[in-house]
Amino acid sequence: MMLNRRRQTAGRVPDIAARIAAVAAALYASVGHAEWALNFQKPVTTIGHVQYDLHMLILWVCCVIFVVVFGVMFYSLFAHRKSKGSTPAKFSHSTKAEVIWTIIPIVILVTMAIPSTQALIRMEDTTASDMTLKVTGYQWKWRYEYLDHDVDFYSTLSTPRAQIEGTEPKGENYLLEVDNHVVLPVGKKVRILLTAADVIHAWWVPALGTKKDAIPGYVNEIWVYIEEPGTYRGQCAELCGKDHGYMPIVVDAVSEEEFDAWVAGQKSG
Amino acid sequence: MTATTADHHDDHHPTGIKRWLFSTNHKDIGTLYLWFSFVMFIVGGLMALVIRSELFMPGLQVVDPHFFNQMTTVHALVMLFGAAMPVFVGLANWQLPLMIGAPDMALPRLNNWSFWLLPPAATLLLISLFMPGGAPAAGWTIYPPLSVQGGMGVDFGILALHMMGISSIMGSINIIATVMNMRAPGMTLLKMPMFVWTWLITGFLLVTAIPVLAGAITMLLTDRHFGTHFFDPAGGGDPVMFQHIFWFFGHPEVYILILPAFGVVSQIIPTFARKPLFGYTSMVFATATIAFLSYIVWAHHMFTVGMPLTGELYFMYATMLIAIPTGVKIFNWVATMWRGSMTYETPMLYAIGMVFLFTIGGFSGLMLAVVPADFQYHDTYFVVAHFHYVIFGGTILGALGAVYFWLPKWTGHMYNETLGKWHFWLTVIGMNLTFFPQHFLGLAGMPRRIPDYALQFTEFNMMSTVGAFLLGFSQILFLTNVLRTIKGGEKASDRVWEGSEGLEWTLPSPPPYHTFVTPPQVK
Amino acid sequence: MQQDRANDDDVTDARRSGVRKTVLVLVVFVVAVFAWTIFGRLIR
Repeated sequence: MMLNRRRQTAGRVPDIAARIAAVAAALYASVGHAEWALNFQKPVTTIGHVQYDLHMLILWVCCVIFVVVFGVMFYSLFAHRKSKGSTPAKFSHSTKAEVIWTIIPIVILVTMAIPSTQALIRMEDTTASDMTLKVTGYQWKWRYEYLDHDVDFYSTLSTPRAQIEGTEPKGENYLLEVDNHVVLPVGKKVRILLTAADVIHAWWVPALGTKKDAIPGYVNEIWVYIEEPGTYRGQCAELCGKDHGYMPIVVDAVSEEEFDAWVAGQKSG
Repeated sequence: MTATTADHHDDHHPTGIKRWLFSTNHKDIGTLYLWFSFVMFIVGGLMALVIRSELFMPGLQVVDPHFFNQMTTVHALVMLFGAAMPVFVGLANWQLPLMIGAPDMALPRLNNWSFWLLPPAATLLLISLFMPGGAPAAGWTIYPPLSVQGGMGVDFGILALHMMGISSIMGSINIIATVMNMRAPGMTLLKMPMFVWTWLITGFLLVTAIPVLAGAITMLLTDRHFGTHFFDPAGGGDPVMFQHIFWFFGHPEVYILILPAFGVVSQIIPTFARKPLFGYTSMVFATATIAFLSYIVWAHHMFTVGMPLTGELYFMYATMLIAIPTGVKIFNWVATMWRGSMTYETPMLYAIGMVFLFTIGGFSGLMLAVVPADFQYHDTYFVVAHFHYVIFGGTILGALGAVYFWLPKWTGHMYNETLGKWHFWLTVIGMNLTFFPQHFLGLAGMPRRIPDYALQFTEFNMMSTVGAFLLGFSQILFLTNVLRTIKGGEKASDRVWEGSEGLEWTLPSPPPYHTFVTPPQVK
Repeated sequence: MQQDRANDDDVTDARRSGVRKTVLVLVVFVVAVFAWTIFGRLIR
């Protein structure tokens, strides 16, 4: 034990040097292609678009209320200062004002609740799907079963350990790359069943516009109708232990022909 | 008006360590609570700095993922149960008897007990870090089955939570009993200061919510060790049931943290606007409404567990409703400022900062209530940003404002105003630099509770880490200021502030050890 | 002064019985909520 520790200490000096180099490289790289993403990733599913529009609607409503309320407050802070000779008014209530500022929020909330309800009803309707994918969360990998196509495989992180520990430069898709991609057809309603084998996980690909927990003993349902071909990356979103940060999801959305070819390849392979 | 103590027989006044160990005096116990929560605030803050150091850039540099999970979990537990809840119990201990004209809390010995449960509980929680398998690492929400997997550190954590819970229950029983029975003659319920009102309502939230948490963690303990299967699907149990029970406690808990801060702000703003609180009655009813709603919205913390559509719709509507009474409170504060005669001493800056930053957290809360959008926000850094705006921007700024507001009364000395203002501005800038970028991280797709992240999240994480260190180190100014004020400084007058209203300001600064032995008459 | 003390003792007695009632009700309530949380799961 002692010996082991000493050996580790001996190896530490170049280790630290390597880390400093890695820090410098990362800093340089981040300046190189800074993203500064402020908002949702571009949605690529039907419900993703609905969700995005709803998100922007509430965001703007909040911004407008924010500007109005704090516009009034900061005006007051500026204008009603003692140092400007403001003398305190005596009023301490006004039924009219209080009724108004109870009614207005109610109206705003109702106008927000209507599109939210419509969107939610749509998102939760998993009927009339074209195919079903069953996803099972494990510590710390995903298993994908294509129930209609008899395809079944596991998918684990493929980022090398050296990149995580900083002894090797990080690749473009650092932590968002896996050995076996999920392949889904575009233009099809895909029902996704979610469950887990050990602890609770959550299957989340931001661009697909939905997220749900994968819970042992439960089967949850979501659906996606992908409109654009492409590769979409996501992660487990529910703390599931030590390697929770290391179980990404990669979805390849392809045309129907390519999908059929992929399925055939999986079976022969 | 000055209460005399000379003819009082029970005036024991032990000195040294005994004064603090055996104290039944509400002022001493209040002081103990305040120092305890400050120490916990620093401990929890250091853990936050470990988290932020690891997240400064992609890759694993400082800690391993398992220790990272322990840090996020224990940081949250220490901050909530060690810092945010006790600080307001401390303020209640100091202020409630002074504000309602009572000689002490209704149950002084229980008061001593409820404080002295806390240091052992905190010790248990912190030594779990050195147990085999480490401290609890399943997040502060300790969801099974993950929390069933942990080592004996989880049991230490559960025991610590039980003790802190018992302490909170006793503290809140004491507060309710004090407010209900010990008010000075003439002080009807609707004449009580807002801080007393918010604490009375918080007390009721505590006695309902904490036993539910106690039940949940007891079942977790029996699941771990005694072969029950409350939450284990393999034995017919239900992991989602834990979440329902946990959040039935957890949502009221959020209001337990924020309502007393609302009360503090409702004391400070009228004082420095030199104008009575606008809409006192509607404030009381809004507070009660918020408390009531907090019992019926719990599942909005778990929209992604796969509830039936009707359940999701109900919890969405109920959650949105909370915006109405909360809005009433914010409008009332702004209306209190309106056409006042304002000055900006440190407590007022904190109160304004609290109203402003809490409201940002309120808006993101409203966004989170909208279920279809929540499917994107849930369990991302957007949520982390949201609740830190509410808890740091609301609870902690409220508590800091309260300390500056009443410190001259407690110590008899004025604090250093320049230092106080520096502390305010550095704290607020640090806080915004830490948490505002986290909104963007969450929206762009960064999940919470991960020790390492994809490259596109680097810039905002760096900003956030820089902000966190600024925020952490500016608290040294606070400590310095408080210590200097205790030691000496300009004498504070009895009223302290020009616009002071209420019984506590009729006492000398500092107040004698026993006050209001003869109840004052309130007109 | 004597008069004050007498009034004071009345106030104290009234307070003492009020406090006792409040505490009794709250303790019963706390125990009931705790018990319901656990036993509610068992009888399900």
